[in-house]
Amino acid sequence: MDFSLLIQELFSGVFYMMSLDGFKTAIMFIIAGILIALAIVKDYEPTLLLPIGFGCILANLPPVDGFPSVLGEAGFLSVLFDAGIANELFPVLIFIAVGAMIDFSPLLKDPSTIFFGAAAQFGIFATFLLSLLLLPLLPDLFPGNEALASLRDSDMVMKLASAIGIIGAADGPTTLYVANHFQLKDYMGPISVAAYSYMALVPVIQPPVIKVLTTRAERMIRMDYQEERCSKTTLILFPIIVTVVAGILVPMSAPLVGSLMFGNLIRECGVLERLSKTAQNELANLVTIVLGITIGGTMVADKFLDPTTIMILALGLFAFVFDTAGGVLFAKFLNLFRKKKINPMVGAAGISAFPMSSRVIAKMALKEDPSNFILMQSTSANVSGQLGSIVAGGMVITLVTMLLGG
Amino acid sequence: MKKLIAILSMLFAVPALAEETAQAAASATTMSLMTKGLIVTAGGLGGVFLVLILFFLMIRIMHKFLK
Repeated sequence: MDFSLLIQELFSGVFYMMSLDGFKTAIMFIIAGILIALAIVKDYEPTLLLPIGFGCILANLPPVDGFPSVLGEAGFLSVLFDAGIANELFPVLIFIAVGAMIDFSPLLKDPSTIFFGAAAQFGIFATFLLSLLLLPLLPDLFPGNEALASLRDSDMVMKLASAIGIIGAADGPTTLYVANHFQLKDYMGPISVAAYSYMALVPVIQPPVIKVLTTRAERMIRMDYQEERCSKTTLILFPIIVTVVAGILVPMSAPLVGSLMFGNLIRECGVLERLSKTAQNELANLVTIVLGITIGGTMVADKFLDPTTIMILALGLFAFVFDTAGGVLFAKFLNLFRKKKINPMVGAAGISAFPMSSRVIAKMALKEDPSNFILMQSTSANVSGQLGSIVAGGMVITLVTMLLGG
Repeated sequence: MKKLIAILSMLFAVPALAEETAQAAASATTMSLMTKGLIVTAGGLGGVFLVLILFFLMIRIMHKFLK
């Protein structure tokens, strides 16, 4: 018996960790550790960042027959990926849960803030254009990196730029949906990590952007809340009509709008209390657990430790900042023509991070003036952002697919 | 009411027009990446605004008829 071979076989993991690949694995462990620490210590979106971090550890463990045992054909993370992300099931299930959690009544009572849900999608398209400019430069900047060769293909650049832009909407499921639609499996790790991390960092990212773009006087603007009576019938009809209208105008958004509105109808119909609670709790929790760990499983060192990842993270942040800026600037633009001024901070709540963004904005207003309550207006803009980001995702998929001749 | 019908017909016509334009544009093989990008940006932002305007009108109409 050859003992050296036996020892190599027995301690293959230890030998692997001492190789160059092992060094990459160690870096991935550190990244996973940061995600887990952010979740536990800072309480930043722990329901997602913790499973993502742990999935990242699992996906980078030393390989058995070429793959870590959780990946490969029969690995449970591969099975989960094929079952829930490759066929867009998880984003759709998450949206049913989100729909059951959202109360659209602030928007229905005061629909004038709905336009912020559109204006705050500006960053998506600004980042899309910037990505089209920057991504093709990567293969020339790193000529030895074969992984970047795919970015010489302009179709691939368009697809990747679309997914990067959507990160700005602060809408994880829509980002996953777009990335998956364009079959960007190799980039799923950095795209989803960027989307979910920036969602968690709303309280850190939005306030400085808002402060740069507004004066203290603007942040102190008081807004009357003139709500119209919102009947039960309106609350029931809204999800049905939105689904039909969005499905007709932007068919590509139908899976996401449809599932969001289905969840909302379960909530509002008044006869499915048990299902509504299940969607809000059990369904949301179960899908979040498997979604997080599956996304973490895409963070394999070979694909993640790549210049594209840094580019995706940087562009994602740019998208997020410009989405916030788009909403604020749109509110300031409207104020040029209005007698009753809008607090421009409400515009920033037009992103999809619900309800975190509206809470951050309301808190900022209270900080400037302890008697200025704009929570209802910012919540209204925030739920509009949820609708806006889904429609934007559908529009991007439709237009890019058409332009690529698909 | 006439105004409302005019707005609604415009809203429904524009996305269809954008779709036709994009389809025509797709056939132009010489189109640069940035041109395609600008088409997606204009069509996308315009589309999002139009759909949300429609939602706004829809909510207003619901309020009017369900009061």
